[in-house]
Amino acid sequence: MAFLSFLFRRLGLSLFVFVGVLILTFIVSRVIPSNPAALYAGARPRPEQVQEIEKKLGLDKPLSEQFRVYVGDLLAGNLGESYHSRRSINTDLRLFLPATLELVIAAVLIALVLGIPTGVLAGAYPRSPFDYATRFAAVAGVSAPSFWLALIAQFIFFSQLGWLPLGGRVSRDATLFYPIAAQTGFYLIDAALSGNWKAWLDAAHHLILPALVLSAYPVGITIRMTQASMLEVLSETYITAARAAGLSRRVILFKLALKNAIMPALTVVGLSFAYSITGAFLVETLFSWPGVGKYVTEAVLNVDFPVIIAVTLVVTLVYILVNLLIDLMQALLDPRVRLI
Amino acid sequence: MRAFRVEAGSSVWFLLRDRAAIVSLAFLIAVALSAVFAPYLTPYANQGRGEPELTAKFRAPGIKHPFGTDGLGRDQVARLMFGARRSLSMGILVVLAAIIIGTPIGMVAGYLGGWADEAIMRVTDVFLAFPPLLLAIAIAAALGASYINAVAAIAVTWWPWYARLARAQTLSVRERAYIEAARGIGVRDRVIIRRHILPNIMTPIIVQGTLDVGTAILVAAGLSFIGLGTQAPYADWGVMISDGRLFFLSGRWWMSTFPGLAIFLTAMAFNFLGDGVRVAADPRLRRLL
Repeated sequence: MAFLSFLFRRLGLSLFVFVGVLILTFIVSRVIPSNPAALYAGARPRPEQVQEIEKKLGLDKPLSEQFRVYVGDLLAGNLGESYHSRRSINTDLRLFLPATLELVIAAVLIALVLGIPTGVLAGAYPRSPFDYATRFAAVAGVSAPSFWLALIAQFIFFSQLGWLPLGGRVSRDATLFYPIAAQTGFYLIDAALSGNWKAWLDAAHHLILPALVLSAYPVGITIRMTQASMLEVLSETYITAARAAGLSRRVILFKLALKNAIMPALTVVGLSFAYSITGAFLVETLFSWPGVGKYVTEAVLNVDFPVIIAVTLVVTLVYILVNLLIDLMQALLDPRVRLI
Repeated sequence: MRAFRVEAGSSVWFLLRDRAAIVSLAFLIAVALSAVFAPYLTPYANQGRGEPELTAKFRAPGIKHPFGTDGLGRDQVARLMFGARRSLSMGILVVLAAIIIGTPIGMVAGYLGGWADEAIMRVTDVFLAFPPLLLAIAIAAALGASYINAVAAIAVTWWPWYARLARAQTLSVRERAYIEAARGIGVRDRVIIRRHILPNIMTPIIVQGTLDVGTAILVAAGLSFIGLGTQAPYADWGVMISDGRLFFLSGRWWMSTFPGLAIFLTAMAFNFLGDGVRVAADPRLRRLL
């Protein structure tokens, strides 16, 4: 019962937040700019173009009416069209969003696999050389600008070592000789579904470097949070009691402490997701990764405002859903969460 | 104010023993000084401000130009020092603005409670529902690309963190006896918030602020990198990385490397300093570590 009521409250909150996001993006796109029509018309528009846009967007009407149209369009699933390419933003996003999500999910997985065990060990042995080394690594991870790290990584692994490709999602050979049959847009899944293992390897090979670069910040965050929560759990009285009772260090660390310290790990998933997305916006261009990040940075260069707003909305919606899922999972695993 | 000063005093000696924090502080002071006195420290001040020197394009690092020159022949040391002015000030301004907007809002929410609290917290929920940077990109694009608009755009997305922090701290202070006493003798709410709550919640806010400047510098550099921050002929570190990136793999590695290092080391220094301040300010943490 407690879970059901938590579920409904949490769903209600997400819905409320989404409405707020709609209002805020509306303000950003229509109220903040001194001349929204000029913004929507792109770089250096002719006066008649601006007028046309004004009429099309209904900018001569009151804001309440504009908002109604804005929300109506979005609820109908129409994100508008790009000023620059004149293409439907819906079509573009269907292509680009899976590419970014594949990259971001890979980065989150790397962050968890590297970050959680490292954080647990660092928390278990405070003031050890390992603790100091990981703390330094964690700070380095959250301090390196991702777009700079990308350049350095390309220099080392592409130019010098030649181990990994420079960019793109697949090599030209793959697109020509064993193309991936698009279904979900996630190349690793699509290739696996069609049993196209050559292409799968090729796509994975291309995914490694950008995913590693994106994971630097989340790895740092994950290490820090796991280490801190481990440190806190280990100072609890039940651990002292277990020690007094003569339980082995291994049992205390990995059976008693980790169970309570692992809960924040789910929170870390959400954070990692958020920061990987942020990184993707800065790094995708450098890796020629055809995702929403590259889409937006190109839109910024072309002053393609409709695209920027549409991507902001859609990616935020994805992020809200991810956080909702994480909270629900947390409530399922930990009864205490449901009481909040 | 007195409560804050006493607390700070007892923590300073502890901070001084933290080697990482002290080295970081020294580094940051050096960077700040080289930014402030840039015109006197480099013979290429004009180039630092963006003036091209077309006879010296793409010089590799050497005696005359320790960090080389860029595609317009500008000395990269001068460029870095003048870039520091913008990158550092962007980070600091963003955090200051966020604190100035967020703290009063959070204190009001925490002190009043009830529907005002609920309403304010739901508004922060909406702002924090955006992945970081994304909303800032949209706002900066709406305002038009410039240094100050980038600062405003990031600050607008950042204040909710301080509102939440100030609210949480206010909640824990609100029920203390001296607040009740003040209320009992009829001190007005506005005065209580300003004179009795604010000084007692400043420590955690300053700690968070110190930690955040590094991140704010990173975010600001990110906006500049994609073209929404500092505009030519001026440059900050993000712009410099962006300017050099097309030449990076073709052997002219120096243009992006040094500004990247500058951001990296500065952000790291703020993190270590912030961590040091955090531990020094929190007696409970001092025992744990």
